[in-house]
Amino acid sequence: MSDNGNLITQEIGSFRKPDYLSNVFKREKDEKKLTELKEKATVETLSLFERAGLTNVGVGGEMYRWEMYEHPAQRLDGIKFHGLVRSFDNRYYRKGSVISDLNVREHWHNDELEFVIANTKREIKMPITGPYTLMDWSFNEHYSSRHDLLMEFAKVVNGEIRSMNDIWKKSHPGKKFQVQIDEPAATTHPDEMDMFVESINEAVRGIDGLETSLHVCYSTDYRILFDVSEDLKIDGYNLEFANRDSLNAGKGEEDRPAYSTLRDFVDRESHKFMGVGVTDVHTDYIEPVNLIRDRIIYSMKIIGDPSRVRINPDCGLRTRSREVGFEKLKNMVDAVRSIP
Amino acid sequence: MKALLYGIYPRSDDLRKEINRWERFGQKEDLKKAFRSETLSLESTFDSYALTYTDPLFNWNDILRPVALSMEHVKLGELRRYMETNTFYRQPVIDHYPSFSEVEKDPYPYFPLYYGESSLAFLPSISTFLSMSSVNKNLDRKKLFGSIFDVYTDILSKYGKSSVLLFGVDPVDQDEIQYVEMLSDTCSVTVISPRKVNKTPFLKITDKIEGVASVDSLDILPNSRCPVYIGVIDSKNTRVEDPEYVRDIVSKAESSGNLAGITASDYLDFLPRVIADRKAKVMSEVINGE
Repeated sequence: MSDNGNLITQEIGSFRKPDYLSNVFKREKDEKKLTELKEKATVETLSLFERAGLTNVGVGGEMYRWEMYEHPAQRLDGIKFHGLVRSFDNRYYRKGSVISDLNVREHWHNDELEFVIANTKREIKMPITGPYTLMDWSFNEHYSSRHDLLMEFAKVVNGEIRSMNDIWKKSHPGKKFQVQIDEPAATTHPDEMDMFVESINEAVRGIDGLETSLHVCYSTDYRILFDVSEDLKIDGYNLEFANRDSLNAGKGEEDRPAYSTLRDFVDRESHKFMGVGVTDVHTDYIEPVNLIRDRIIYSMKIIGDPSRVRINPDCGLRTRSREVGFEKLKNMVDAVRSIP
Repeated sequence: MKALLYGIYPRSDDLRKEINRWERFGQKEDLKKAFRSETLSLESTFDSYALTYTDPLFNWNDILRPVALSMEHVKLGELRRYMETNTFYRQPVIDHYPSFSEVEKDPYPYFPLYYGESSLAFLPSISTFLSMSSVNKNLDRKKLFGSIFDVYTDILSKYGKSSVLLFGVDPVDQDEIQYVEMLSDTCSVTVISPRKVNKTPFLKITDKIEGVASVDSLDILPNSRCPVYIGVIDSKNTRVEDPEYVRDIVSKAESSGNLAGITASDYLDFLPRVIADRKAKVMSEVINGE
């Protein structure tokens, strides 16, 4: 719960970049100028999140990053990019090939963290791409197995979290550093869930003072994840539900088909919190406050303890305009505030 | 010894950009020219390599899309993950028994299924098309098979194709066998699957078809009555195979049965174009002994 007794509201990570940044992000050669634009966009987005009323403003919409795989992969020795591969339709991404031992060339989130710490007084949460997704989205030309590559990525991610935690502790002694491990690939190979658990636990191993959450999106079956929940050394989840839900208001079982899987969560997990996705990031439709409120009330009915419930969009809002993104977040906050 | 390349081949950066331009400015004729020119250029390379190939399907965004858009009573739905990859396809939604249609469907522009003239046609197997679609539960499965089979024969007839490669993400199952047999009466049929084929029903049709490949090719090789391709080229890894290594595998397999040649473990669209080009060259080197 937040200080004022309401449920915690948070964003997930990415938010649409202003045109002045997105138009030059890949082209600007002047590092200093590009950094200034990233900082300007971060300040504006932090302010937008604060105006929307979010309890936790993340890192201001990930203005320092272009893409969740390429951003870390470009800062690692041992990864070579041969070209683009298709994601869907005519949309492509750079999928790296691991051709030699992985080594960190430069930290990839420290500058962003330092800037955000200096520019907001709200709660923050640092999203970082998880080891399983980094492994699954890479071609492996070097390590002898997917497991070996995965554990190398886990060590790398552990080093990044450790480094950020050191920065955090200097400015916020005694206060937990919130880190969200993003793992969209988590449940795509159900037979590798043991490996997945091992890699997450390795990524946070030996780091004190963390509050760790796991963000997974667009899984075909979250029960695969909840089945291993007990073994995951994390504090909670931030998951998507709204995109699969009905748009009709109502707090009954039949009104909220997407949220019934929360029963699988509470059946298997009695401690971790759940960040419940209540707005769909793939549509411009701005869910009305009463619909979001009904989704929250229904979720709370299943989870029970309100201290285990947080409220967020399904995923990062980078796919929507900044105006639509703001309206969605604002309605989400209003919905939380409307609950007695 | 043959080397078979099938399915969607990675687009070049130029073609990808041309499609982006079309998405913004809608110059459809320019895009058609770009598709045709890239197809002809690649086919010319493949011919010089002496490869056997299907149309490179540069105009296909996924392995179901143009087929679904050629059907009445089928529309496109949500994005779905293709197997365990990070590549997504638009799921066909089947409301009623499909029939062949050439009407343009918005918002997705209709592109003709094929541009290549010398190549094999590529179609998803009927069971694959159905299993990757969302199907109205009130529709009868046998009738669905029949109606999709009719669409397939119309497609092959319209594009003058007498050879077809059926691609089965799901192995060809009992329901599909009679249609594969019917198709093989008028057409030369090759069946490829990136998974294991179901041995018992499947082997029955190997005397009717032209060739087969699956992940368990080496297992079916001794019992297949048609030539078998082995998928030694990895379509999910950028490591380029050593031709000597591939030749070794081939020479060991040759004594086990009726070997057609080599192919890839899946279509090559999961690789950057430059790597796909290198792998195609390796296939050529293997069969041509360079």
